[in-house]
Amino acid sequence: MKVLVVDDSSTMRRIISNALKQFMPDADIVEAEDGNDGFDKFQANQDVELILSDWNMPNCDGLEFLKKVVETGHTAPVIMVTTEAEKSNVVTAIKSGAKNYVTKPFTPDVLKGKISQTMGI
Amino acid sequence: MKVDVNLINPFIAATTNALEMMAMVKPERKKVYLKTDNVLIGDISGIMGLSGDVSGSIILSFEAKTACKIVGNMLGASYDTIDDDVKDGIQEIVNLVAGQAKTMLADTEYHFQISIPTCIIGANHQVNHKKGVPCVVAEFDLEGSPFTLEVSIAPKSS
Repeated sequence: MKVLVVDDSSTMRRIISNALKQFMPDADIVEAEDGNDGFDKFQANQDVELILSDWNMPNCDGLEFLKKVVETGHTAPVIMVTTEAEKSNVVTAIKSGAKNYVTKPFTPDVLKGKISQTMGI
Repeated sequence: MKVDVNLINPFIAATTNALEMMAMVKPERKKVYLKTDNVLIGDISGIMGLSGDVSGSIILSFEAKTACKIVGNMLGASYDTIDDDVKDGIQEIVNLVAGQAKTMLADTEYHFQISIPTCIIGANHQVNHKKGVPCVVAEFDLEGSPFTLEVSIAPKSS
């Protein structure tokens, strides 16, 4: 499964990738460092099946990235992985098309649970 | 200017929570006091600005070996010196702390936005917080090494 991980922190991209590898060892992980890079990588990888995105990023934040992806009609679910845990932000993201939400900090088991819930696996 | 503990405590709780969950370490909070100088105790400090209904900044300051251990635990790797990975890792930790505290304070009068984190490297580095705003220091012990959380924050109306 191809997974796109979008986060301006290289640390967080590695943490997420390491967690993904624990329960999806065959995952093909594509990384992006902001929303613009994320959309470029999304367009170049149309076989992506799952997208994990931060919210607060420079050069196009996660909410704008989410909206751009949803606008394309692509079926890959977007899960927001962010410190923005206020209810109003969660509602905004879900209404904008996010399929699930992971609050930072998180454990690998929490991430796994949210992905399983989203993908039905 | 008085210090509102309701404004400070979420940052202290968030520090412990972020390090326990992401770096699998258990910091022990020691003393809490008002800071009287501008010198940070560590070799690397992660800094985050806060704005909105409150303004100010928070800083997490670590010795090099502590920062290396924390980031090494987060990434499942080993670091001997402060390199780009360690710098980014410490910035991410301060981002997590600020983000959690922001959520804890969201339903209070202390709603704020956070900036992109930065870090400063070097022994005896100094940072000036906002003039006139008290800076509260929470000292922690992590496996025998100290680190500090500095919170300099005040309601915008003050």
